[in-house]
Amino acid sequence: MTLQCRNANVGWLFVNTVSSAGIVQLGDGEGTTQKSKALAVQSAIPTHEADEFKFAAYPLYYLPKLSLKPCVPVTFRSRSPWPTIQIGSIRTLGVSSSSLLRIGCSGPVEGENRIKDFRQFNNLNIR
Amino acid sequence: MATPIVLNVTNGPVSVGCISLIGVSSSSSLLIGDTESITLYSYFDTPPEAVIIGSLAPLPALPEEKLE
Repeated sequence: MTLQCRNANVGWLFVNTVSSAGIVQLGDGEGTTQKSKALAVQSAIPTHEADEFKFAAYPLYYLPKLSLKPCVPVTFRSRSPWPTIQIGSIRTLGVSSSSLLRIGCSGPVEGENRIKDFRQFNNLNIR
Repeated sequence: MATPIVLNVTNGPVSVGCISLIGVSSSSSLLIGDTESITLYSYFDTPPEAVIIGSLAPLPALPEEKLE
């Protein structure tokens, strides 16, 4: 695997928030591995049992990751006769939950995000 | 043993004018450039009891289509 990297010219970049294992990368890099877990609970009455808010209490957080088996070996070569990436402007409000905003060339990108969501209401009129 | 595949890529010019987006979230990525491999997982679980009770937001009325 050979990647010929290039220069990147960015005129203007605005990112309001980078959170929860988010990455904003300008330029080349080796590779990124990001992980984030969230347990969102909204309940009308705060009745909590002992281990209700431990990640270990829910199988979602330790389900195995499925992966594709490589079926055929691939030799990949890339060439970049035009050495520059030109970007005018980028505007985004948020980069969050194991996400990546990258301008440039890089190695393998890995991201994992696990969210469990609870909303418990005891009365139909409470939203 | 399957014969290996040889993949030769010649990158053309990359010129981006303007990108405007609200967010990049939940194991996603916005890449401008080259990369070797991308592996992204996102697990989301909302159990049945986490039901949101409420009326769906009413969709705006469709504009009147002009009859030719």
